[in-house]
Amino acid sequence: MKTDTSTRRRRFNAGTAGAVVLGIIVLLTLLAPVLAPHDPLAQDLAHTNAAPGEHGYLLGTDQLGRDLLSRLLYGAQTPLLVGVLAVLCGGVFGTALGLLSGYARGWADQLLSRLADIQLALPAILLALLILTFGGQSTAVLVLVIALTGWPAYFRLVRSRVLALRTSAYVEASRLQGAPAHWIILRDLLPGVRGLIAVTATLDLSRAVLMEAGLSYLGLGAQAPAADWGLMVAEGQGRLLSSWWIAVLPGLCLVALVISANLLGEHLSRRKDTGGEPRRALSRISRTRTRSAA
Amino acid sequence: MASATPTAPDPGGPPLLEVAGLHVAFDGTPAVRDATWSVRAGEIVGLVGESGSGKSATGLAVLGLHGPAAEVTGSVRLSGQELVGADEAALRAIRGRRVAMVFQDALDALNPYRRVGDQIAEAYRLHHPDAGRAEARERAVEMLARTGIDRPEERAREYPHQFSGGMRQRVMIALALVNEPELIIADEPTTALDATVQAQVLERLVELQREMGLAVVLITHDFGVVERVCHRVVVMYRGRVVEQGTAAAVLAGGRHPYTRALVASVPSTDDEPGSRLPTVPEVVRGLLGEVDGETLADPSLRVPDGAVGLPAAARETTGPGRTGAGRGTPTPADESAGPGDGAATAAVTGGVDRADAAGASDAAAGDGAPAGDGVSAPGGSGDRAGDGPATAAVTAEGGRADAAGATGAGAQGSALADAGDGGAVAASTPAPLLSITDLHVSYPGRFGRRTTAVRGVSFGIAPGETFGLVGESGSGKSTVSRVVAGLYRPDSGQVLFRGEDIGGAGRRGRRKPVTGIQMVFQDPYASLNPDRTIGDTIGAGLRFHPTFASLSRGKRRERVAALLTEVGLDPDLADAYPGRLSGGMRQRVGIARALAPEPELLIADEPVSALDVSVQAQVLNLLADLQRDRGLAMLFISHDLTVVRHMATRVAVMRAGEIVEIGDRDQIMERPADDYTRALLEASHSVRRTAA
Repeated sequence: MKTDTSTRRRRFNAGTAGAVVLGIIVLLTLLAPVLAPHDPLAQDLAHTNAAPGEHGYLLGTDQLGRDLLSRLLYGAQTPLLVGVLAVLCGGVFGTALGLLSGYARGWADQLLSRLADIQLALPAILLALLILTFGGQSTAVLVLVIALTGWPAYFRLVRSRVLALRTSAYVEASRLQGAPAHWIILRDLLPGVRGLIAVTATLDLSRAVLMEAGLSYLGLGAQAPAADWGLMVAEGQGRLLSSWWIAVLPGLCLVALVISANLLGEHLSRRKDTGGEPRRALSRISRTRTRSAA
Repeated sequence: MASATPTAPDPGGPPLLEVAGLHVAFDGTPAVRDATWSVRAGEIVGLVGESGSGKSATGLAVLGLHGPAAEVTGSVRLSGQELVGADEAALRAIRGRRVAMVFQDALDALNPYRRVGDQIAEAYRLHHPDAGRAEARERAVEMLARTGIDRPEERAREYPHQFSGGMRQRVMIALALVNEPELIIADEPTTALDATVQAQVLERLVELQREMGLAVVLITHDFGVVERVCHRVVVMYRGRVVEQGTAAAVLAGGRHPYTRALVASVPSTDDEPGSRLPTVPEVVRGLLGEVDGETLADPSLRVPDGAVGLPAAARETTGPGRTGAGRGTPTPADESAGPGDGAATAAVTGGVDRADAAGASDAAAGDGAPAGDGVSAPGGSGDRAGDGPATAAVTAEGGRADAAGATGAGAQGSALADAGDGGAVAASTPAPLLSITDLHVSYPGRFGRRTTAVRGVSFGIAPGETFGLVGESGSGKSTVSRVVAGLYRPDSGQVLFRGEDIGGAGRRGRRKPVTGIQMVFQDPYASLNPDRTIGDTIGAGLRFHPTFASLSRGKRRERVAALLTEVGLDPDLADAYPGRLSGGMRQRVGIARALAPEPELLIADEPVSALDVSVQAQVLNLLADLQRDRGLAMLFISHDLTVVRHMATRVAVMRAGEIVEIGDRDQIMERPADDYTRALLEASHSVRRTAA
């Protein structure tokens, strides 16, 4: 504990920076209706592709003359909403299965573990493409698809921690008191994995946001004319040479969001003394993700 | 052991190491305050204290190994050369060459990826740059041989994990001695070892010390070790040196009240078994009246002239006759539990336990009279034995003599001990509370093979009886306790509790634990869930109990508060989390949790081995009080024969999964039939009490 505080005092704290940036992005997105100078969908065909600062558009306009600043303010709504919901679904699902699997062991554990392996082996973006192409494109499906590709991370981490905790003296003591399995799982084991889940969820959020952006970029997420960072990158990429700002600005926003969530998650994982487990498990998924999204 | 008796070195010699006015502080918190002591060449000095006393910080500061966070002031001189503030190069030339260290955990201190011979040879070459590889290797093998390792040539090529704990500690000693240093600082070198191994390692260390004319600073919490090997003792408390002197003098009658209290609170083989152990706060109060921890840390404090060394009254009256006090009498822990009462006492033990504040006088007042109460048996189970079956009567006064012989016979035949006893005492044998017959337990091991942990163990426990199970690590004693508790399932054999087979051998799946059997765990830190309040942890035992499940929330809270009071804790702690409790307080919570479902049998698996010496006595007293007042039967498990002798009326000695000897306490302690029991007895330390 003591060394922790002293290192925190000495070093620049990246975790706090991440939390601040993430907080600003969320705040700006929530306040977009108040802050945005223009309707994000309103077209000004007289001033298309205006450079930042021209014609009173602070960050310029896109190919349809829509105000880029307003579109950027609104553009995080879908990624954040989808990201948070997907993290919630995947987290709850993965944690619940991890708790059951680790506590019960036996054939149920074997089955669930193999399912998680299969899930991890499937390229996430391909699976998402498949489901979204055949299953229809709605926000709900988008959330479920992203959650589906995220649950194994929670499952594996929670399960391995529960395997260690279930033989701990305090769980044995609860069993001696006659506590039923569901009680032990909820009261003894769940509190023990709380920190782990919090860290994993923060790191998973950046994965989910990136995946939403990637799918929107591929035309399977948010649909035109909606303001969405991933979609905006896709719309602007044809004009990278003439009007770089249309694609680069939303791209930078995405980078800021993902990096800040990662910094926060990494910081939490050190503080919570989880031994960096979530980081490693997630990196496998997010590596596949960035590669296919790029 | 006799060969290890210390011989005093030349008393006139100049000091080799002189520590004067040493202060060590970590982040501004003082760990060592104004420590002054010295070591002469060829002398073994024990640095004794409890956790947090600053003994280890002192050891590290001598070699400048305390890390950058520590501020060190004062003076440490090695043959006159000042070490505090010396530059790294100067310290490096001394470390390992003139002063070497031996750590407690050799597995941590040795590199797991390198052969031990190479590690020792490297240490030699560091300080002998001209030495060739072959010469260094030769030295390494020679040192291994000198520390008592067989086939040193071969073993030098092995890795640390291939050595047993005792052998690994010998490797550590070889590593420390390879450069023939003048001084060795050994930080708890044998604490993690089994008693018999500990004795061997200490003996070897003392022999080497004598051969090489070494000076040794032995950091330890164990007065048994001090008595066996040390010439002089330095006692530390709260960072201060409170007392120093020759080992014999300090052990026989420390002049500082803390020393006296510490020596007195260790169970000893000279004690009346089952007597109340004087706790540190009690002894200090008996000597000085109310004292806070800060005052007690004053080195100039002296035991007042004419003061009684121990609360003798308490010890006498709480002896054999104490049983007569019966259930109705509140235990001293009860009396002291009121908030505020124990405040001063808590401070005395460095913020540890508040209970047992009831001093000698309280205990004496309660129990003076009933001492002559006829029925009571020595050791405490007499009352219960009266209404009891023949097995219980074994522990009662009348049956003792016969029982001793009968038990011996029973044990040799490896038959169910209680059957043997019962046969001698009474014709028919009604079922004891717990009876284990021919228990076999194994674990899945590597490559699909199963490792057998327990083979053919049989014993019985009568209602209200304390049964001791002694053995070293790996003897299977904890496995037995877990089978009885219902945490493991045996391969075969019967576990009868109140006549019902609860073992469930041969069946599949998890066994449902029986609420009539509860357990106190060894590690008070691991056994409490840090995320649940203490009240919640204790109350859960009521929630799932067949009779208490119907209690309302308020009634449950009341019961939890009563339980906390019973174990000597403030009932307001119910809403606290375990994080802010000391080890002793946590162990009390663990005991309250075990008592919540009103068990008939309490399993105490090494309940004090993780606790500080001064707290051990308090927890042992509490267990003994509860056992007596509630009429509990207890399965008391320990590696320490002295503690078991103190607590139990009948004892079984386990080795390698089998019971080698079982019988009455006195028979085992005084007339052991088995060689292993004798070895254990010899190895277990007996500290001579200060004369009252």
